[in-house]
Amino acid sequence: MKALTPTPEPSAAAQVPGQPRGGMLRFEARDVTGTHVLEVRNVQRTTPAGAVATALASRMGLPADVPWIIRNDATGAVLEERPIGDQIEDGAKVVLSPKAHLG
Amino acid sequence: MNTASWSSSTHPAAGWSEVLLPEGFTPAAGGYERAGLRVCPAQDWWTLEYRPDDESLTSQAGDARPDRIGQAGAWKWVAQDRAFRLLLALPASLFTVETDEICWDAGTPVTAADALLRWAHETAAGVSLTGWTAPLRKVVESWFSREQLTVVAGPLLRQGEVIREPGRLALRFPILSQVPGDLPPARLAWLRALLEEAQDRWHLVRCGFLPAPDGAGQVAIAEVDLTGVPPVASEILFVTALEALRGAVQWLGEPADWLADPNVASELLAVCPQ
Repeated sequence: MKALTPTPEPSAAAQVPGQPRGGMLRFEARDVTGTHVLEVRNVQRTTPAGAVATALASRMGLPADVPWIIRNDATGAVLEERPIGDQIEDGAKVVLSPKAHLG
Repeated sequence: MNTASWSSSTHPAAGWSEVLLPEGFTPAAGGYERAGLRVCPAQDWWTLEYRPDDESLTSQAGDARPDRIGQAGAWKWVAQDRAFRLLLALPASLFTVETDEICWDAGTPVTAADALLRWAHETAAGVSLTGWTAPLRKVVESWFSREQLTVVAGPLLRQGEVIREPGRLALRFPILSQVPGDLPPARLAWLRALLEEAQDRWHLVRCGFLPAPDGAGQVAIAEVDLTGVPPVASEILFVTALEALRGAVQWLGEPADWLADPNVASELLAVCPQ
């Protein structure tokens, strides 16, 4: 999806610094190895974090048969299955990790 | 698909007559007609077409496709036979299945078919839907699971919303949350053609552009507007609409992203579609 595709910076005239467009979320995502880094734009704040993780994993070419989680790089908190906009700030950095089931 | 065309038969099926003749419709061109509203029953979907006497409300071949985004009701302009037709497709089961719910109009009980056809006529003609109130939000939310508002297909991710206000009920998904302002005219024309094709393909679904919420530029959306829908049909239509939208969003998302990406170079896309 476009929202997960690295795109060039919009012109200064098109965007006010620090002001997300239309309430959309923008953040940086990388996988746990640091191999893939994406500038993620235009994610609707109401999107569940799990769906964002799934789409990000696909965009990064990570295995689809593994459940993925998103961790807030600043706090270390794993995002819960509720709107991502309630859990991270605009401009946040997140890490995509496989969901571990420790027995 | 909205590909159903008028039957060449001059005699409509008898079973449907039992529904439509009492409503004041007369057989015409393989369907039924009443005051500019033509109904073409079929096994799964009934196709309604509105042809008002007022020529200014019709679309001529060669015109740009009229836009009904944001308007009450699920009518939409569909390309058919080299012209645009104002169509509304409704599940046939709505007209033929008996329900326990009784529709009332000005204190008088009416059939589900009558309520639906009245809604169709009023929304086609732009009649004010006075007295209609949307179902309660918690009732609407009991018709679907929250996950159904999220479309994930590979890297494609779209989050839909239910617009429920006292006088409005609609479902809406973003296709592009920001159409680049510097998109070349030819690329914008291709994007419009893609949205129009999706509108032709899926029953109930309308696609088009809206101003961005922040006022800068525009967004591309897919929607189904059920404002004014009679209670007897609201849940079935809502569930059907959500599924149709999910299909349309999945079909549209990737090519729309591609067309809206100014970094994608294509000689073909530099020329406007015919």
